[in-house]
Amino acid sequence: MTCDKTEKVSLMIDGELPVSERQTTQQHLIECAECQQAWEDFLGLRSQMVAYRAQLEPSAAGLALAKIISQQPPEYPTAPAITANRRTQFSSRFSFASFNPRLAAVAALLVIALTIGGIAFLRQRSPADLSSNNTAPPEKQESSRPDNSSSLNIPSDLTAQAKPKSTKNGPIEGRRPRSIDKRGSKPRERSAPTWQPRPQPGPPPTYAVVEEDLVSPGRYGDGEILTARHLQQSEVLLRAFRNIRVDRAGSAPEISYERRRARQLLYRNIHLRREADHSGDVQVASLLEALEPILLDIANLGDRPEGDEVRAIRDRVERKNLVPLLQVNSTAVARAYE
Amino acid sequence: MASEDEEFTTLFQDFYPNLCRFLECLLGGRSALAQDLAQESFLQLHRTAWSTLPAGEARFWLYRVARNFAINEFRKGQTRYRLFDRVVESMRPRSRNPEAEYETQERKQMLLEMLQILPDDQRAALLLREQEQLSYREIAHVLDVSESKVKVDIFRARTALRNHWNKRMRGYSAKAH
Repeated sequence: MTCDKTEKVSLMIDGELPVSERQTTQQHLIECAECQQAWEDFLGLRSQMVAYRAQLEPSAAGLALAKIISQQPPEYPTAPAITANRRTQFSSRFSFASFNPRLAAVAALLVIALTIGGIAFLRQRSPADLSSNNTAPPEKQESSRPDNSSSLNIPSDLTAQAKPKSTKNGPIEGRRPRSIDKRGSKPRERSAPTWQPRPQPGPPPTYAVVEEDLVSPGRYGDGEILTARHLQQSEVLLRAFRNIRVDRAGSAPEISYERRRARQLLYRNIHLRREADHSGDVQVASLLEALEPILLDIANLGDRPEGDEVRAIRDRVERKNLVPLLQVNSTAVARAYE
Repeated sequence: MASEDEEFTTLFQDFYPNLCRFLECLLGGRSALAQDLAQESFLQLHRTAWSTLPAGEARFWLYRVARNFAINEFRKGQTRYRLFDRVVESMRPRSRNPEAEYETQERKQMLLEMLQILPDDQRAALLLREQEQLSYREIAHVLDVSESKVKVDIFRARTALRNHWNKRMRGYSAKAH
């Protein structure tokens, strides 16, 4: 019979057990042989999975990378005012949208019919020749009645402005896609895409903007909030890096966490620096520019680096006065946002 | 543009082996297919989302897309163990230590067989936790499910594998006697 606390053992080895339960679970582990066995079995399984190595063909990987980079993405119109998040959602919807052939065929026919109808309407430019039930094919409309003989009352403003007729479902032309759920859920229906869909296989990669792992608000990464958080997290990393102790033999302890963190922050730093350059925020851009090579060097260290390597990076951090600058700027940016 | 390519190259070098490993374990060891799908994932990233994704999000995007590709493969119901796989296997240079390599292959094969007994959701969640060391929150983000589901899936996956392993060991010892 399985102990009912085995699930807590599973959470504990993942570091996901709430702090309030850790002590009781540790105490239980000492007393329960079943959970001790589960602990060992789960960790054994983990070591097997971590030890698994994929069978890679290095030459194939290199060729694939070269091919990917050499390909230019197809051009499609983008509005400058659209934020990166919405642009991403638009491109994800219309490039990876689950392709329904029937819907696409109906949409295409609708567009063609409207285009022909619109052209015919513009050519006539006469209220007498227009019909409120304009479902006749274009050929019939061209041989329509003369201007002054009409049994229909067409509002003059419509004809004068040559607007397309509205249907009972609302104006078709100019309909925009439904407002997109920011969680990236698939649309139930949509109008014809405004740019050519890519012939790509696969499902839509629905995703939301990453949530910060330290601070919870700001669901969709407002620029200032992201920058403030990034500066704060970079400050935390540099402080931790500053406190690494180099032993007498001249080597530093294992720093894989700091390396991984530096790599994550580096990607974000590059993005935020570009945003700051683009928006003309010189102060933030130059701070991020100063931070970037430090993050790069930390990310490129070995798992157990030499003491000299660690000291060299630390000296640069001190010379640039980065930690206080990050602290001041993260507070200032957060306050400015508030 | 050059720096974007450099960043992309760095991302590729960092995550391509891991993505291949994730896909191989998901797909039950079909390495050529896993590499195809991994390359397709990177290609889609480069074509559509690379310039607009927030920094740090690319990794999650890749795993999500790769997993969706793997699900598509399952749904197609194709056992695509390609001829290419066999050719590559036969042309692979032999190790200087064939016994060690045999043992490694045996262990890998056993792990792959065990993973195949799991439902797709549990398998993906467990792989992301054990091999990629993602937190439950990150796994939920990649798989687009709740954290509670991730928690339950991982526990059930571990329990199922543990029980399967114990049964197998009991079977072996019964045969020995």
